[in-house]
Amino acid sequence: MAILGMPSRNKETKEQIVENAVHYKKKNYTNLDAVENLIHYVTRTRKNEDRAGDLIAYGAVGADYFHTVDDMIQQFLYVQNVNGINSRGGRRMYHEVLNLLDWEVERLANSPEWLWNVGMGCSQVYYQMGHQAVFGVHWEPEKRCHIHFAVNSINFIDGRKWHTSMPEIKGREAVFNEILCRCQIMATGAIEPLIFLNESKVSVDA
Amino acid sequence: MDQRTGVKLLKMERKTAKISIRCTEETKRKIAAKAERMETSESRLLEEAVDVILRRRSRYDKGKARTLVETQEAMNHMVRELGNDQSGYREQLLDLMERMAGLWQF
Repeated sequence: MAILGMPSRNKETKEQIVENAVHYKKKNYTNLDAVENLIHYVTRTRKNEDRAGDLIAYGAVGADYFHTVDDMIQQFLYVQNVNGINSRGGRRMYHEVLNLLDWEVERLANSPEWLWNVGMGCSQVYYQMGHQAVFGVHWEPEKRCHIHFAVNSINFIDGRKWHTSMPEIKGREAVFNEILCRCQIMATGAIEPLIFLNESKVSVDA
Repeated sequence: MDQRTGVKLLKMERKTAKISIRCTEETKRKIAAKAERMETSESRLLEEAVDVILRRRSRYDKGKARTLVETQEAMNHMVRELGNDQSGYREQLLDLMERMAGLWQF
């Protein structure tokens, strides 16, 4: 099962990392350049970027990912400024990571397109909640395959700030796993479609 | 609503405060002319203008931000759904997105 968590900047020992599969960050994205920094990090377009090779694909919801990354940043900032982020202060971005296991990636036929589809499907969850999101699929030898989500903390529908908690993250993790499962079924066309169809039939009958 | 509450509300609605503004003769003349055209008093006209300013909470309409985000997402979806044989439409949409970038300036 893929694990959703918030990456931690605090240095932890290996034992702690194993114990805490999901980390909470102590440093929040409250700095003025948080939007810019995080989106550049996720899309691997930082100044003097040395890890551009990690990026498999990226995309966004509620923002233009077909043109430049700066356009996306501008679109995030617009929503924040219109809703008075400078006078309100506080967190500007949320950063979540969905860690995939090797066999889960294999079930997506090791295909960048399907990994992109998983990222886009999961980002739609944030969009349905009223938040713009940018995702980036990365592969690193140590961290294996994972999907970063940079989420705008300001709701573009009502201008409210997003606050999340551990139970909510767990709930989102379950939804993301369902999306992943559906993509795996479509990618491989394995035996799962029958199980999946039977399950949905039961729920319809109920 | 009892009588006391009614009286209290009436007192709250009573216009007892005064403000004065300093402006040019030209502006004063324009305000008077506008008020005459609209068949209202100068005081009422200025009060309505102040009311509009007070209701505007930010430099730009928040509704515009929502419309921009939703339009952008609809366009993203359309570009994704267009097949290879519809590259003309795709180019047009991408061009439109590029021209829309100016609307996101704060």
